[in-house]
Amino acid sequence: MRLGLIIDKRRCYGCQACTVACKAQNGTPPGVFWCKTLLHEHGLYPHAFIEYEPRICNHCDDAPCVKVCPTGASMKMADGTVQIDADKCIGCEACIPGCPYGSRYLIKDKTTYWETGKQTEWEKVMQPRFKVGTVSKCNFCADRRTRGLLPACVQTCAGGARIFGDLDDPSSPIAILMKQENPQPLPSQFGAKPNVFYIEDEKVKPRK
Amino acid sequence: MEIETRGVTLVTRRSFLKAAGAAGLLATMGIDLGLVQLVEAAEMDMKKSTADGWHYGHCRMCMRGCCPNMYRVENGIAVEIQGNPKAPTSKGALCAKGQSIIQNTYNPYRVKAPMKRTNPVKGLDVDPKWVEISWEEAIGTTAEKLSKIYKEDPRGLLYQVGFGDMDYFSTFEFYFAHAFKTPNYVKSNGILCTLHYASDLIQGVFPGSGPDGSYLKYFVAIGMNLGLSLASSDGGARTLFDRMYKDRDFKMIVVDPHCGPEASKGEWVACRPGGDLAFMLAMAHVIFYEVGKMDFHFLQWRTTSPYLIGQDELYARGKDGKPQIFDKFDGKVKSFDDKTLKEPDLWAENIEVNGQKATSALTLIKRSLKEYTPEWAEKICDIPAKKTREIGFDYIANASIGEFVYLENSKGELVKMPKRTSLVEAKRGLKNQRDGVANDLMTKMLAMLVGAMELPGGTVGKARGVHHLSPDKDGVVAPKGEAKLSHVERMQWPPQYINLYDWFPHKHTLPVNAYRVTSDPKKYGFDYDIKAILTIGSNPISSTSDPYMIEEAIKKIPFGAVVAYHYDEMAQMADILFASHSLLEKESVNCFEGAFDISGKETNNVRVMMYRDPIAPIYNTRQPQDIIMELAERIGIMKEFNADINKVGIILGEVTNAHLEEDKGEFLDLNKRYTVTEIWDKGVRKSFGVGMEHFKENGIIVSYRAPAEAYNAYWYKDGESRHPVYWSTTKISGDAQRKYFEAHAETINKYPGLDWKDNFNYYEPIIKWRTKELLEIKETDEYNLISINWKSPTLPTRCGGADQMPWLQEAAGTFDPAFGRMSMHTSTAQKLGLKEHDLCWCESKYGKAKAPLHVTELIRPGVVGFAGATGRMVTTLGQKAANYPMYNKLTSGLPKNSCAISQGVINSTACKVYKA
Repeated sequence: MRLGLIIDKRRCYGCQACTVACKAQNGTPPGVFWCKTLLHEHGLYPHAFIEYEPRICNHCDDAPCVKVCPTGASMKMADGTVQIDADKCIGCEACIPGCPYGSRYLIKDKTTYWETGKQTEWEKVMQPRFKVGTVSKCNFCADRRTRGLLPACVQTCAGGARIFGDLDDPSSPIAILMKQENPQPLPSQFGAKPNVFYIEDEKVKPRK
Repeated sequence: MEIETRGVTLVTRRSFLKAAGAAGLLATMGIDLGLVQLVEAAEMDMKKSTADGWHYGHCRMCMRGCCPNMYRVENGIAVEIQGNPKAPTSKGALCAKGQSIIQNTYNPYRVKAPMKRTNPVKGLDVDPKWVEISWEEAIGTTAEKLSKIYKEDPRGLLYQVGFGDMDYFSTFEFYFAHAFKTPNYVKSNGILCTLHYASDLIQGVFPGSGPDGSYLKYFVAIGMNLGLSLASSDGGARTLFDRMYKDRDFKMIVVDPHCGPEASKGEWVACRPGGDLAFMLAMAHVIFYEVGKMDFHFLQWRTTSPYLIGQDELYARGKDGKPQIFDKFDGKVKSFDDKTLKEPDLWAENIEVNGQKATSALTLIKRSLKEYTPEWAEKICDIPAKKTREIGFDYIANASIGEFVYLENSKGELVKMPKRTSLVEAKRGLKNQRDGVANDLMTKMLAMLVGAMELPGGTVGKARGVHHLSPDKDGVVAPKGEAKLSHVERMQWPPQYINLYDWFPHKHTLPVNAYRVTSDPKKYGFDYDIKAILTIGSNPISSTSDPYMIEEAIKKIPFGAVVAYHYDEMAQMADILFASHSLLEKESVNCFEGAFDISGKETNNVRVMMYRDPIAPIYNTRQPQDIIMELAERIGIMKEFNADINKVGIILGEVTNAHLEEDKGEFLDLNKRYTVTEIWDKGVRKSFGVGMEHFKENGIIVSYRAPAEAYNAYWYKDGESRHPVYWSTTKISGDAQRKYFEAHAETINKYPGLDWKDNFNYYEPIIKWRTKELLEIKETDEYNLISINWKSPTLPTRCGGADQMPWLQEAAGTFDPAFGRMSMHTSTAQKLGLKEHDLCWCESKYGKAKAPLHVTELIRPGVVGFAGATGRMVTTLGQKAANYPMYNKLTSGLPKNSCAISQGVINSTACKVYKA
């Protein structure tokens, strides 16, 4: 089993539903973005346009973050995902620059999103999931998957830009789309072998 | 729980109880401990009643409220939210706003219990010194004040409503006003809604019409979002991308001064703000004078194109009083409904009709377009003549004129229907101009030239059914709403409506006028004063224009009560606050009847009735409908309230109404005080055959119209009902109104910024080009730039308090460089000596807004752009929300700054930018 994600950049329009769905699902603290969409401006007026580039942990097969982790807290799992065992993480942060894609975040403190400075009842429920001083990142919504649900970012995408599934299952929609569209991972000089693939924006890379 | 407001701690019931025991403090705070304890106990029970697990709901984090959702409760807390996968529209998707509905509930800036002001001095920057009170005191005090007004002169109540609590069953809003007998049911929403008149006049639909993406191939979108900029998850984005990247036969031209998501996906044609009509007129010129091809059959049989127009600019009528058509087949002039009519002549000229010379409407339209060449337009709108010409030719070439599609009706028959695949549509960027209605009508005209109206692939009404295209006595689609001539007959003197509805009969909403008049009603001919304001789900200060004027006007109103979710500007100005449930805490129903942005094969004929199973309230709040109905009961107008529901129906969605039938025993008992749930139960039983318990279990009911019957044109054969291309109704309305204004000119002329004689120039049967202030701006002027505002995906409106939700603030602020800033083209910034991140003021004649600069190539030079609905004038929702630029401060709701017909506010203004 090799869980992966295809992101169709043509169908992304930067609404940040994935960004906020991840927040609502996982309760990550301010400044921590397991999931996000970057906006890149291209060209000159009146031929300018925006390229939308969603980012998420690539759950690499040859994950540099796993290699640099001194305690084994970062692990490649049997389902193909990369996970962090917070109990083993010592917060050395080696994995943060180790990740070529900026997918990892240190949990600095248990804080609140609100200017009152006091955690809401919701935050009090959600924040115990995090351990201050450890590193966190997208886990492909492991909790939702155990309940048979799609990752929150996939579920919530109104443009249908995210296709999630088992890359090793030739009958899965993601495997079929891999063959049809030949999506490419983000480039890496480390040879990380990401499991997140992109169908390119046709304005950035015109279709042949 | 506490919130801080300008250094004063607001003690709420919950925190107060923790510190209870201090009897002296109790007396100080004016709290009835006995009642509070009872409420506390009841609340605890309710909390337990929200079982762990998933509950069905629907969104209202934007004004549409049409996305079914689900939330999961764990130990009384909503810990998970997602779209309802069973909805064929959203298919389980939710936008960022929809996800933030959780923060809407756990928002510390909520009003958590009824409150009363103890500081008599009112102002946005004055601490009201709130103290918590009991519900009995809040409702008792308000009912007493309103009862007095009701008995003395009910017109003295200004009932201020808005999108915030149309969640749905908005009936409780206008039924309360009607039962109270106040004409002053004022909406703060819709100030930019110059979209209802044209759709009503041409298609008899409300609220408007939109593209049918099922078949559309060539789409010219002017100043509009197609579900991307607003990030609607109702299926529009999916449809658009399916057509673009799956079917691969969809081209989108986006005419806009700013390049947002739509223009980034399609072809961006940059345009000067205010010049769009010139582009459309030139496009029509190309079609008439250069292409020469149109859907002539549609124009002959489905429009008034062949109607003969007399010298008086009205339909030339025969001896039978009916509009006349020249039949080319036998050379005879015939009444429009003559059964022998075979070939209506579109180009008849100088035909003798009942003693006068008459010419076909289409001929007059063609003549009017002669001077509007692409070269002429280029000087106005900056779109190269070559591009306009190309679009004009492509528009016709891709229209599939003469093609058909076979669709099934409810009898199982296949019906042959015309399929049209080119369309021009527009929204706010085009319509919020002085000539907004004319601009809107011009998009309809271009649609009709290719027959793309209420048919597959065309512009389709947001409401569906047999009656929308029903004709008037002249065989023309009869207006059913804001374009009706009967509005003119209601113009009274002395004026009755504080928002000046008497003066602007085709308005949508006029909240700004309401407050300008409230300050001095007698000056403008009124014979009464406003004595109280009751606000629910509305904020005219933050969400309209002229906010400081409105603040001053509210100060003068002796009493104000607000059904308040949070401590916003209207709460700040109130005497009494009724603490309202958050969205998840509100039980609600809503019906999706059609996509707002673009429909597709999966959404065009679908109807989704949805329900929100409420989570137990976490504070001492109540359901807004029940607060209003309790007030109605205390005032003694419950009987009238129920009678109105019996008469008009139970609103289940924006265009969904359950009409009760007396002879079937469905009417409400006039003497009974119902809960809103009981009223909904009657409504959904009537419309869907099941009660509320069904929705609690199932969340939604999905039904489908037969594909053919999803198009309103299905119900009428050729010649049975015609869309008007020549707007004589508009001219008649203007002529009739003019008499009223002439009779009362002395008083009316006292109203600032009203050039009513100029207004009537726009009441014309054929569009003429008129220049406008925005197009006259020169570099040497003091205000030498043009401001624009666009919808941002995270904060397109303030519904649900979206602008103060930290997740949305953070996501937009971190990843959208235009958010919370003012955008300016590189060349303009260079000229002004400004650079990225410079903190600047943008100032118009009416106000100013401060924001850091964003320098970009995504905007036309000379234009200053603001994203989303942001900015607050109070800090009681957090400093961040207050710090965003408030675009509304730049615009003005004076009549001269509004559409001449609909009175929708012009949303662009001359401005200047300088370093702060």
